Amino acid sequence: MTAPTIPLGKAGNSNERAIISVRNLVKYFPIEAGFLRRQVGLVKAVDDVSFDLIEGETLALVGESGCGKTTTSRCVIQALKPTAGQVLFQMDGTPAVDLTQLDKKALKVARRNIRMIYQDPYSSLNPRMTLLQIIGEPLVINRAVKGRAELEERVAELLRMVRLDPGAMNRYPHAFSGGQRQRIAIARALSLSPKVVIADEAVSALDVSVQAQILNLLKELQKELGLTYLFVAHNLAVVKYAADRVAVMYAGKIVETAETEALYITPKHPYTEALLSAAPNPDPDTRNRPRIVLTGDVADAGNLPSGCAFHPRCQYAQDRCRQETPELVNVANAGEPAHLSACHFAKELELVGIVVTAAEARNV
Amino acid sequence: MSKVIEIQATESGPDIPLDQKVQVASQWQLIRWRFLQHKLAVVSLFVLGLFYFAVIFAEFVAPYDPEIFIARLTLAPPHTIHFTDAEGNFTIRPFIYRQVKTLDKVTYIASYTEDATVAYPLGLFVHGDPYKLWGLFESDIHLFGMVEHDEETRFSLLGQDTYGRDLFSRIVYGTRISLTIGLVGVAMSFILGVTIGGLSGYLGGRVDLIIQRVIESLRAIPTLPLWMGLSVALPPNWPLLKTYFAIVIILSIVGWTTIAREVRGRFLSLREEDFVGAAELDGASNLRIIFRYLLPSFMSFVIARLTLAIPGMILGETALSFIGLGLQPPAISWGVLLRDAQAIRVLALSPWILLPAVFVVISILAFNFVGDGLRDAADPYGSV
Amino acid sequence: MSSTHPIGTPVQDPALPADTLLSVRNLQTHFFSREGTVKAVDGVTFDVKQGEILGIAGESGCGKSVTSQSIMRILPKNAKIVGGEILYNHQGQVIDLTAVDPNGRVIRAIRGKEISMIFQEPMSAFSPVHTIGNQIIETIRIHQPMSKAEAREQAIEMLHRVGMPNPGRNIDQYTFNLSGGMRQRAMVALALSCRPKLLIADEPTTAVDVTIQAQILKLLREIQADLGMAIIMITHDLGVIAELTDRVMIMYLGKEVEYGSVENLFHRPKHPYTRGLLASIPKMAPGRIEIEPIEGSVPSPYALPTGCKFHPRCRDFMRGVCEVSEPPLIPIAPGHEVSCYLYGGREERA
Repeated sequence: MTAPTIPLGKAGNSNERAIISVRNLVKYFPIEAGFLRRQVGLVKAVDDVSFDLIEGETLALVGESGCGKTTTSRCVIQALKPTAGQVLFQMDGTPAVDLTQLDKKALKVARRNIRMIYQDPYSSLNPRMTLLQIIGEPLVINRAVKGRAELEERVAELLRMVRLDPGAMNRYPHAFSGGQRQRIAIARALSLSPKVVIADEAVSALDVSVQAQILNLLKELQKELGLTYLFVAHNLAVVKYAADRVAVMYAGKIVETAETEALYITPKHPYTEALLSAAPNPDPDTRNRPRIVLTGDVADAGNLPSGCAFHPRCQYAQDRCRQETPELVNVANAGEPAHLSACHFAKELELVGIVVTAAEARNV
Repeated sequence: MSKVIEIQATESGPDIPLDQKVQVASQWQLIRWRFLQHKLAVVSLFVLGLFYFAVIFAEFVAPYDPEIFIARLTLAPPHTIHFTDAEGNFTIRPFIYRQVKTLDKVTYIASYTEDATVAYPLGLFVHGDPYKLWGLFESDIHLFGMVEHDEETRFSLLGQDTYGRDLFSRIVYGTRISLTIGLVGVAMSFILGVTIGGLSGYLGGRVDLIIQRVIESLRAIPTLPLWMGLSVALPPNWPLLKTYFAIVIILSIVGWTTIAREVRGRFLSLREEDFVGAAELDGASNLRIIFRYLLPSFMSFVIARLTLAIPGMILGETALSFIGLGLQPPAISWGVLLRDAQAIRVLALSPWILLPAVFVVISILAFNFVGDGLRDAADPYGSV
Repeated sequence: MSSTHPIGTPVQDPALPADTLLSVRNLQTHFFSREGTVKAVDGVTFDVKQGEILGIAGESGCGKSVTSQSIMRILPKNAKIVGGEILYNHQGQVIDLTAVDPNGRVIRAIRGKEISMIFQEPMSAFSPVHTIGNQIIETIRIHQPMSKAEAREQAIEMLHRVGMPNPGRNIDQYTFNLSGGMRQRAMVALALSCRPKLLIADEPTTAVDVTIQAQILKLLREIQADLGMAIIMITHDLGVIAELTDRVMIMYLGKEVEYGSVENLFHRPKHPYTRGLLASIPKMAPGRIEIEPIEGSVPSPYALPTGCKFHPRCRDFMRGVCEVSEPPLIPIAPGHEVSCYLYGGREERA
């Protein structure tokens, strides 16, 4: 008899299974000042965030700097301790556990199944360890292999999986390029056969042509190994290629969540509309499209506006937006996949998504 | 698995064609290679090697016993080494002439002249004053000296001191204290500094706050008066060894704070590095992180800093002994030797008495250059 | 327009056409280090017309930044222009910038006044101990004779032009007081304070959020139209290239591989590298469009491939041709040049 699955939040269809469910996650950082370091304010980096990560999918967390996407991903894996909220984790056949409540030992066990890839390939690998040691570290610490021969075999297998030469395992990271280092980081992440991989801006620091290699590698690995990805990024084109569902974050909150095509073609939040409009498209034919250029700067999480955090920059803002903070609700029609938006006027507004040129319209 | 790897072409094959060796080179190998590129540092290391050879084999290197004095030879000047005799013949074997001492009847100033009639050839591995190497092995072979050992004459390489003792021999014996006090002191600073600094940086919070305030208070005390005050407190009748270690402790009291602060700073910044975070997520224990991830990252850096801290210790001991605190005769250190140079009359007439200072300067410079070379070589990954 | 600083002697070269502001011909800039010589720019040729926006695109190590530094003569100590010419059209007089003293009066009269530059990181464009007003005013007064009060007026006006809120007050701010977007604007104001003919923008939006990037690009477009200024936009982001530029030059490992109008380059790319790049970037278009990465990675500059630098990664590699010698830059259509043996150039090597 299988254990009861986590009841899905507002997302998705009932025959899908959430492997991770984040409920009301909150992470505040105190602002300290003065000689005695008294707390004078709070940076609300993550402010009541909830979402489900469906098994086998790639969910992207998108937003600009300071929106809280990286902090959220760190809280999911408990690299940062959340101020409040739950992170429910359930693998097939086992009861759900709340990662925020686990002690160190239990967390170590849980972390075999949730792994992370970092943004900077130059600082995420210990320069004083060989590849064998770096990739083997999780195996050694978790006693997943017995003896050196088995360790080398497993590491060789992992290197092959990321399309690197296994003979390289005695080399040091400084002998490799950025793209290759990311492959090493991926191999390390996969060493314990996890179920979930969090890619925290994993391709943002790479050259364009290498980015494509790594994105495709991640896709292939997902198919081969049945992985679930939480993909944190700020590049909308990359997210569109990589993700099944997208959650847009602004000032510590999720403002829109939807399936990728739906979000990009028919966004339901003014911020998403502005993001899509601002993202440069490598097609000169679309350069003269009507552009929404936001005024002002990205909201400061230490000093948020009242009501909807986006209202000072929103061209559709009304009085209500200043007074009332909108809830994230499903605005899709009945029978359609869930499309969540945190905007008072989500249903009324006719927002513009990515522009389809005549040439593309012919291909569709 | 052998260290030599065959590079196979793969679709994402190695692109940076560094020398094969560099690719598998460990941190220490890279540091060594970079260090060897600093000529000055390498030369200085060689010089230090010579000095420490003298530390170990002082009895052998010194031509004479440092305590035996020949009254007739007080304040005798250094000999000139000749290779050509009075007739102009060149000899391979250097030799010296006998010194004749004449006393001026009016001023009683002694002056020495060379007597070209009596020549003493010099050689290597000659017989001389007997000694016991390290108190264990008896011998009387010295590295160099007069071929025919003579009780009344000496080959005076750097002159004789006020009592008629060979200055060069005393300098050589002096290395034993002057050059080791620095090492022991620095080792103590290192242990204290890494432990306390590491705890401070690793535990953070209140522990960190308290330790930092203590460090700051210690550093606010002026060093030389502190050393002087503590040295005065030492009982003068203590045996040499006890005094030696007491001095070391005194010198290290403030010395560890610098290392502690740097270790703490490094720990704090390294904790934020992604690879440390990744290790924590791998499930590494705190101890494993400290020893495998944090410490190795700055070990080379710390070693470079320590090498640069040794001159401070050498100077400290020299200064203390020079002013009469610290070590006392019959202990032999360069500072003690320099006390003889305090009498202006002696200094004016026999300037070679100051030569121990030259050795102090050379060793300090050598340590500085080696330390610089180490520091520059210490982060071989910095440019990657 | 009178100039208080005399410009150097004109070059004996055939005069540039009046509408060409800058002509770079076969520029070669090398870096010298213990490990060897890196040919950071190895024979690059392009023109910038008055009021035109040229994009220089390529991945890291292709030499695009070094090209701009060569034009401004702000190369680091271990770099040297070893060949080629940079002809600048100064009101009819043609000056070869490679021939002037990098610290001399000629180049200093041009820098900031005729040719200006903005960088990726605004914090490093400004001194942290001076207000932005101080630096803008100083720049203005170096190049134009006017009083402090007049210069301040001009500075405030320029800050207003770049969309800085409350310019009269913010002119007295330090860079660390300003937000990211405002710093970018201040940097643009500094660069434009003397109304240069040419603005070189070296990755100005790479480190910036996408909504701020949209603001900056919009600002550049407006100011360019306003002042009739030419811009060289250096970036690795092909989206920015498509959005902003008129003509594009693609660089790879110090070489120019394709040069043409932005429409030609995006809709009719010829060089395999350009095509590979375009095929490997995700598109903001509906539907799932596969991306095809370019095989391999950029080789180390100390161990360059023989012949065409791209051949080890090229789908259309022709054995016996591509690895033997470097293909010349040849025109395949008016205003569209490619450096690839697929389109010719072999006859010249016979």
